[in-house]
Amino acid sequence: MDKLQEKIVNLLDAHNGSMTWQQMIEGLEYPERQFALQHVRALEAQGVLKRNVSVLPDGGGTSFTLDKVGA
Amino acid sequence: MAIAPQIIYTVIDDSGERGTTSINMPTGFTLAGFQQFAASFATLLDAILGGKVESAEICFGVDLTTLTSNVALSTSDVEEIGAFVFRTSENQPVHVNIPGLDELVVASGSDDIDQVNANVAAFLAAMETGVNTVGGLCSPCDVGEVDIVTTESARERFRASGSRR
Repeated sequence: MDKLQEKIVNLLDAHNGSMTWQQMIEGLEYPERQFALQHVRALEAQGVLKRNVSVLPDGGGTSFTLDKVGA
Repeated sequence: MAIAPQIIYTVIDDSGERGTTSINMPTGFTLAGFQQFAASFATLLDAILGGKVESAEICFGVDLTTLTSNVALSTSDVEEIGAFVFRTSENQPVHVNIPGLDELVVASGSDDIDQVNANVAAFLAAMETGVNTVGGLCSPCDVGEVDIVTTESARERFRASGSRR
């Protein structure tokens, strides 16, 4: 696993398996955050995490989290 | 082959000009699922647009009154287009041109839309992986109902506004 991917997984673990995109970005340095999306996609393809976009109840909008698979 | 239902969003800018964009959905969801999908994508669009998402239509109206932050910024312009190219699982391109893009989601010094921006990332995640609705995971697709799986490009473009209707 790539070092940046490991860092993202470690961040996910530090947030008990679920974090917002902003939490991930804040946990990364520049310029690695610029490559975050491609590494998130790679981790998703490996079945490590999942990007979850969900409808919030009562017209509350939409939530977007990165969730560890099996957490 | 089923023909995918389509949501048409109308975006209005500060000068009253309108533009539209559309997103295809797979068939097989309940009315409530389609409505949730359409309303949730309106929130995702709202987050990356300077224009106001004025309406969304499938064959029925969708209530956008819950979008409390959905207003036309003084800098909004429907001729500023978010030009996205997605790819399906069969590697076919799907073009989604969204009017009224917010300049704040464009990377400085370029015409690239910043795909790491949290609001853009949410929109791309929804396009690529779908939205969890009461009817299950509803993921955007092409007109032939083939699932969109990745983003090829995301750029700001300028062109005359036009309505699909």
